[in-house]
Amino acid sequence: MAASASPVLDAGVMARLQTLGRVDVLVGIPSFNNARTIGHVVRAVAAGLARHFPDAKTVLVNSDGGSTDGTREVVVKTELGDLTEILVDAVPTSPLARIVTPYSGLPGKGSALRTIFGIAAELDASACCVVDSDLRSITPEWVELLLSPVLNHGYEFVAPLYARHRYDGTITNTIVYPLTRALYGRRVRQPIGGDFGFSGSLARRFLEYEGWEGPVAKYGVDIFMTTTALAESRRVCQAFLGAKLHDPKDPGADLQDMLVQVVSTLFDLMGRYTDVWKGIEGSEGVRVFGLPYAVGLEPVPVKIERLVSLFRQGAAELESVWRSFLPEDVLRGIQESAARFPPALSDELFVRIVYGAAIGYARRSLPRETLIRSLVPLYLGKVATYVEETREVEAGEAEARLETLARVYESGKASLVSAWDDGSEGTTLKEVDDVREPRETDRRGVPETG
Amino acid sequence: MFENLGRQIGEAFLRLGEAFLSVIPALVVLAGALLVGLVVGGAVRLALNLLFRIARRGDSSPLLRAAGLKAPPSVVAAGVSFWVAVVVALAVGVNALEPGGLKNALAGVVAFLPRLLTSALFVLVGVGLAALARRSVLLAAVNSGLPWARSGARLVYVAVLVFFAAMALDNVGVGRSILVAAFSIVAGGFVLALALAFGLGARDLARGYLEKRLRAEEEDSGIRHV
Repeated sequence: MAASASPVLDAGVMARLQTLGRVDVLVGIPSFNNARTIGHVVRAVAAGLARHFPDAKTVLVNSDGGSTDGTREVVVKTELGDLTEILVDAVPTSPLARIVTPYSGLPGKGSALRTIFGIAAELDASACCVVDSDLRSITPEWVELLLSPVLNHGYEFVAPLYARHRYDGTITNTIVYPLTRALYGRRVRQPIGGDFGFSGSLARRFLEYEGWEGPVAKYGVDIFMTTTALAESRRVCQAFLGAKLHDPKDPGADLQDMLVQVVSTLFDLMGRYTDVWKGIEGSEGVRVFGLPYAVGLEPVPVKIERLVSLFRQGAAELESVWRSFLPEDVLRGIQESAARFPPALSDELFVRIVYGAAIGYARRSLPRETLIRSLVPLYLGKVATYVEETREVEAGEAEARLETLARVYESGKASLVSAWDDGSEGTTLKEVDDVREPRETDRRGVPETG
Repeated sequence: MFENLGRQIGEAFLRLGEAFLSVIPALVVLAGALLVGLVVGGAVRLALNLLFRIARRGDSSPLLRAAGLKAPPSVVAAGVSFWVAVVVALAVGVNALEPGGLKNALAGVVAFLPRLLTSALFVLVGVGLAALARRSVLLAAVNSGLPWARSGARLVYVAVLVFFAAMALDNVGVGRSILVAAFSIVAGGFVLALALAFGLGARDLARGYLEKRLRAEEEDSGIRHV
């Protein structure tokens, strides 16, 4: 990565940073119109820092995208109240230092985090974590779980591990997790979870990325952080945080846009780290801090009619677009899958689609955003298939189904490498081996909520 | 009388022969210019091909492919450069001719060629852009589940194509005023027809459709994608 300029920081913020001097721990909260929930997040963070890092010099940074609902005022004014009620036996020795600043650059979570990384670099922070501002389930323990592995165990990146409903995070489950695992050989279950811990040196490394004006400025930032840590062989672990409850929808977020931002970043980084992932076979587990436990939630009623309808419409209308990066037998498979009742997009076929898209993206077979937008119906078809397959099964079985998918990604990687190396036009993926039976140990996933 | 007639016919043939002979140097000049144009064009084409090969930028471009050209950009650029060199050489050759009817006629043809080439370029770009627009509309409509995805995409394709065709014809000066009037009438009429159809003729249908769309958006599948 070539060094690039750090984000432009407000003059007032710079003055504040000079007053603060060096800090041990920095907690960042990106926000945009989260006045309803950010107060709880600030209180949980303050309590967590007081309980678990009472002797450390700490700072909370809110990087805001121009909220108009008073989010910044909430951060500034949130009273911590009587912390002895929350912490029982721990009382903070000094009030929590807070920096509230707007960020510069493209509007998005990535730009907000970039500003937080910039402040972490200026303050020479030893350990940092970022947590989403719409969290309803954050507790003081999250702060410990995200920061302690860095401060006390020498890890450089802490990915979150949540108990989630089987139909929560389907982009993660069907594309991001299994692809990241197959590429970089580490089983980080929530690579785009949103709440991460990392070292100050890794924050500085993030700042050196030259693609901050692309999808990384938005929702691509989570997979950018995880991939950078994995591909650059940083010490990575996971922290079990329990359930993740947050606002149901980011009003500015759209499925297509999010898919484009996340998958573009994944594919961009495949190009950047080709020499790393091509040599990796199989995958290994990643250490988990915290005790995984089951969390009960109300069952989610799932309706797949619209997903199925969009998949079928895509199959009927988009074949000419897909032909630019998918081979004939895959196109035939898509048509056959769409014709079934209910539709069934097999793991092998879906993996060939994703790998074909990755190669097409690298070769610019289509304008890149167009290529990824054309994947939306196929992704929805896979989600519909997964829902049909797991509607009636136990939580462990549903997770085992995803494990099987992840192993198909791994077994198909050889053909990805082979097609990637052969740069000639028209080279496509060979068939992917069928991997059906997961190992017994794979069924022990993180307990599902719901 | 016959003797006089024969003499006059003979003189006519002589004048014709002289006229032919006077044109030969001009034709030689033109042929020379054309030869130079072909040689320079060939050299430019060869150089461009080499440059593209060295820069490894010979992959086919999405725009060209969308326009129906399967040749890589290197071949297209080299071909265009070749013909530009030939046309320039011809223009130089015509310029070197003695003033007269032939020069005027050839000058008119050569002067028209750049406009013809520009119009061809308009058509090429138009076909490419129309195909790109069709694909973008199709994708957006399919991903939103709109039932008119294919017909909407076709409509956009035709509209963009017509726009560029009108530009190309206007550039070569074919029926300029008629074209402008026809284009304005068709575009204005289309918008008016849409407004009337959607706002008056199909008011109930429009309301029902919008309500259905909004309900569909509100209908949460229960899936959380991220």
